[in-house]
Amino acid sequence: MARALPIRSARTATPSRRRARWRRWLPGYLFVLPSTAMFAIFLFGPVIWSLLLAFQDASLTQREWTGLDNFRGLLDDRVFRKALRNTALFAAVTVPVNLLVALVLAGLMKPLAARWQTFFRAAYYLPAVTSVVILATVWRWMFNPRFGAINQLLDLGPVPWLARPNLALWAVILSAALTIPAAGVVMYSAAMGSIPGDLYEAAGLEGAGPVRQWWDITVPLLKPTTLYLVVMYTIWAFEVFERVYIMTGGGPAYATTTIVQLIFDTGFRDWQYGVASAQAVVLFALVALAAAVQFRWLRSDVQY
Amino acid sequence: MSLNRRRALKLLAAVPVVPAALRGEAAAAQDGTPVASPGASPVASPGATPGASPAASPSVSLPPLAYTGSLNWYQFGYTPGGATAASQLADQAVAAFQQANPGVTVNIVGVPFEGGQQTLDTALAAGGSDAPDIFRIASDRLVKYAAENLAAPIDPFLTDADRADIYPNVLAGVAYEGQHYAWPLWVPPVGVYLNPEIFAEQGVELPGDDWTFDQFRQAAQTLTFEREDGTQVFGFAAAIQPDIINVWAFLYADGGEVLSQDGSTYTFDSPQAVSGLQKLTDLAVTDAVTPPEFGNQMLADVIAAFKDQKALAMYLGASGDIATYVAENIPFEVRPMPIGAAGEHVTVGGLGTFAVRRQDDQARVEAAMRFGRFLTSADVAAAVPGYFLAPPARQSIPIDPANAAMRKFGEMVPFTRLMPQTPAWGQVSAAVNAQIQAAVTGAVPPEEALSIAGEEVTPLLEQG
Repeated sequence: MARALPIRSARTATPSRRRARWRRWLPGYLFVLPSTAMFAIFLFGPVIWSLLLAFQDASLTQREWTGLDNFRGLLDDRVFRKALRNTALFAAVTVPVNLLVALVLAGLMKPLAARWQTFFRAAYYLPAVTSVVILATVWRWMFNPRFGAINQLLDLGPVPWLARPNLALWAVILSAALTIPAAGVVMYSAAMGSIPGDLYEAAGLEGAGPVRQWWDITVPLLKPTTLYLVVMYTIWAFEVFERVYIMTGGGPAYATTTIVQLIFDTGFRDWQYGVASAQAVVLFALVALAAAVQFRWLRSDVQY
Repeated sequence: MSLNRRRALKLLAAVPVVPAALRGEAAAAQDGTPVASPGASPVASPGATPGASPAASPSVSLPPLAYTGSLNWYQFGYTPGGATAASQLADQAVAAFQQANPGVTVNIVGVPFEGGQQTLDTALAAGGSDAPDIFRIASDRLVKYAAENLAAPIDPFLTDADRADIYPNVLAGVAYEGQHYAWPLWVPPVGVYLNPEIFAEQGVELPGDDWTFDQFRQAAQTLTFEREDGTQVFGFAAAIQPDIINVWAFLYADGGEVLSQDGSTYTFDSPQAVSGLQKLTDLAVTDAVTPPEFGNQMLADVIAAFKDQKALAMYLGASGDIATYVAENIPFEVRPMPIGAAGEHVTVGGLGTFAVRRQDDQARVEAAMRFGRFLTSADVAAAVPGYFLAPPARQSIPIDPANAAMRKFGEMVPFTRLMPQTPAWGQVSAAVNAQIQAAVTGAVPPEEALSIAGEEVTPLLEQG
């Protein structure tokens, strides 16, 4: 027959267990404390502060609560709408192109010997360790209508790619699409390397050719990597700034102005920190929405 | 965001092929003009070489300062130890001031051109003992500081001699709601740089100062040609960017004004302004005397075409480029803007100033005001040879007679139109320039472009 512990002994045992637990966990908490504090002070705090600012008329020295006025103002802001369209178009084109290029390049590297894979990974990763400013400057020269390589190669005459409102954004998009997506290549390459070879052997025995194997085995099994890359590339695309700023300055006639550039100008040029924060909140909401859709679309329980 | 605008320019400046011009562009924002702020130039302009002695200085005898202690001077581009020519000039100016005011010590706080504006703004907003007492600011940004009660009015310290000495249009350029908020330092007006070798190559005589727009247009047409080696030379170019107002000189030359005198109404949709923009558009679209990238051409590219490629006959720029051309022995001439329909010389320009932070310690404010006045006066010109790197804001400070180009810019100061004071200036400038870009690229007719700009600007002005 089981006997219940006296209440007193249970009470006296709990604090000692707590102390033991505390002694066990304390070092762990102490180890994470610095990074948690840094995160709270320098990242989480400013994010919350920015969220609060979005509902205020905030300048350098003055603040006043204005509710949703900043968001209502954005609805009527022609430049903001233009920047939204530009950014969305940039993301809509560059994200799938970058993914496809990364997937194809990683697929082409897969049959190569290990040393050649290493060589190509390093070569493809070079753009990632090169400043975007440098890359964008080179692209600006390449699009120069008089002596740029693009017009020379295409023999089109002096097409002013970056100076015409109907061409400038497409030129910027082209520059991003033609820059090898280094992270994607490396991650896809690593993911492909971890797919068991017997899956391909079995498919081969069943008569599947290389394309069928790639489409029915490789692509589905890369879904977790694809999901990660889609989300990350979408975030990077929505945050595009340096490339556009260097290549076109956001012009001509707002043709290449992006949301982040607008946030920068609104905040630091115009001192309208409330409006800039509202723009940032909208950007955050868009990225979060895109990520949610992507998670829903690409989520999988792939295990192998 | 990992890269801000100034940082982008700083990194760009590290690229060997686009050197001085972009550094100049970064500096330009300090004076509200696109071209290199002379104050930022590492090379002292010959216009201010030793030997330029001030003429009749309106120096007034001022009582000793009640304040003893330190002042913080936030100066763009300053590096301690005299690492640059501009830094040496700042050090010498401080030494001269401290000698005249023994109880005051001036600490120069160098802020970089890239990102320095945010540093300055943050320091001003934070206040405290390390906050700036005096700082450099372009007149087109000044009003924001005045409106936010960060800049103190200089009127109580502005003597009659100062008022008589400072060009009236320049003094008006620091006025906001009936008070003046900064000590005007210098004025880099927009003029036309000419390449005399290209003029000679095509047998075109160099124009006089009183040239008209028709003469300018004809010259630009003749100077647009292809050399035997295949190099295409263009007659004219100018940078059009959100914060660059150089080409507005065409609109002003025909009688246009961006805003009403009190800054409350958008007026660039007037027939005069439309006429000026039509002329500019015709140069690009009808005459094709501009490079194909005109409309979104970066300032660095314009200067490179003029200086390095020798493929540009004329461009609009301010006095900041003189130092570079003299240092590199580049042949150039300077002329005022061609006379337009207004029938008189008109140009636009920026204004470099020193503002004093508003604070409770009135003795400290007075000391900072005294220092601001010194930094912009004939006294500093006398004490620090080579101090003025652009046409001074005061009539009493002469320009070196040997520097013809700088003197030419100096002659433009009286008819230079400084931009009206409105807290929304950055947005106004960006909105107008976006539509000028649309017009000169042929995307939108000039009249419609300036009307669209008005639709964007008017609500900004109404918000105050």
